Amino acid sequence: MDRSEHVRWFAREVLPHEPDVRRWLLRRIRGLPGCHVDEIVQEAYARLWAVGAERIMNPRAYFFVTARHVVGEVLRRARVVSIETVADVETLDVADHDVGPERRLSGREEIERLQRVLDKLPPKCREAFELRKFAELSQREIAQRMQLSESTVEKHLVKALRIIMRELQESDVGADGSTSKQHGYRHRAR
Amino acid sequence: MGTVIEPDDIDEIAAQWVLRLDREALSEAQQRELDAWLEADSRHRGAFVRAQAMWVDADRVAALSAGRVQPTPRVEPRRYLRAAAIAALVLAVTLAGVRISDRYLAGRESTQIGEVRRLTLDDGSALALNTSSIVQVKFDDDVRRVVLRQGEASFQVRHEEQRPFVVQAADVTVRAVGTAFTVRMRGDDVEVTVTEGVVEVTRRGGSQRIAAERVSRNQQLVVAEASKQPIVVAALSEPEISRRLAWQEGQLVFQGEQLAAAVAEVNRYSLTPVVIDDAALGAKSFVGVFRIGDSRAFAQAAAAAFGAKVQEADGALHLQAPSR
Repeated sequence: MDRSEHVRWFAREVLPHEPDVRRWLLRRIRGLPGCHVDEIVQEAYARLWAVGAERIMNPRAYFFVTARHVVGEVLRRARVVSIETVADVETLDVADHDVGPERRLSGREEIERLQRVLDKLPPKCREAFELRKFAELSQREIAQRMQLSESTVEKHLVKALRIIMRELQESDVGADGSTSKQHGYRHRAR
Repeated sequence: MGTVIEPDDIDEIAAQWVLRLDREALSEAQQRELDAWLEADSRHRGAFVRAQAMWVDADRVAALSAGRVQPTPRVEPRRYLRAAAIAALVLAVTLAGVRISDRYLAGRESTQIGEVRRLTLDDGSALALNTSSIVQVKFDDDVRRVVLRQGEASFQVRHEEQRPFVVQAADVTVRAVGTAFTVRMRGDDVEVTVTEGVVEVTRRGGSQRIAAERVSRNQQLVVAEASKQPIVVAALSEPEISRRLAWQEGQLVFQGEQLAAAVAEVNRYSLTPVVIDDAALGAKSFVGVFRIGDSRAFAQAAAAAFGAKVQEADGALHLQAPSR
């Protein structure tokens, strides 16, 4: 599997689970020092990447377990003295019980999310993004079409990608998510 | 991990590299720069692959949406989305009710030691009952009343303009319209912690009635029975509030408390109490997360951490300093 295939595998098999992993992380590390969800997610992606796609049979479970390990390490480092955490004591049943049913977005929801992203982009930035992704023009062609320098086009596209990244980050604290984040009434009772 | 750079900065740099690669093949110098950046920190590698995956994923969604994404901003999609969000919320609430308890709550409810239970009230409000707690619920046409007889309960109140939600704990009354808060009876004291909105707390002291006190988000109010200063409001940080309410997730979170204080908390949830036999041990501070009700795991972890040993006797777990 070459790099671009590997990236597509990530897009298909790992990305869809990120909101659930973030939700789970928020509960898991609440109030703990030195734990930052974004950092744990970055670290988990690095480890999943290093393992390679072929060796990961169940990406969702692997993602959760990896995130759990990272949390454990951060906790051990941050701690005054070492104490086993719940996360360490618990069995590896995260993928079955702890995270609830899989919530992969439907095609319609994905399109809605893209629409939401597009609506957030400033006009030039949006135009550049649409030309790149819908019209499939290269950055150079977009620069000619829009009469901008290539580096300006690149900057517009960086901005668009950042907004896409944030949209995924925030999908776990949306209008309805905020309640569950604070109180967890959507989670099952133990 | 451990450097001062923010995750957000890393994402920004990762996105820049993704688009640089999208623009043209990297020069040798650029490639070296990218390699060095990736090599410097595993978070960089993670952020980079994540950003690449998202960039690639946009192709798929764009293809999926062919002709369906609006090329210019319009108003309707947003309105539609809002409706969808409300529908999702309703669904989530419904699911929660079903999964947590197959019935609606009426009358008296209680939990055993170590039990945490979530219930849905018949107005749609949610209630989480902590260990060894008792509530009584009585809803009328003009008021929704819950009496906390013992223990601790968290409320997520469904907004109803005409029918306030009132929680009574001893002589303390907490009044809310639509908000989220927790009431705990601690000996003769009553603690009210607000996580959303505002509540109004009043107290009847014999014939006198102490003026209403407003408690808002991330504040805690303590009504101490014995104290001359009957009402104290303190602001709590969001992580601190989360930490205190971790029982709702079946967890106990400690952050630098002394072992003795942590043990008192652990023992609230367990029939097999932990007893510290060594005062010096009790004064040790630590950080940790534990599952509620598992005092044995707590005792063993603490013993391992502080070089103590666990002796089980008379139905209790004794933490003892190692013999010298």
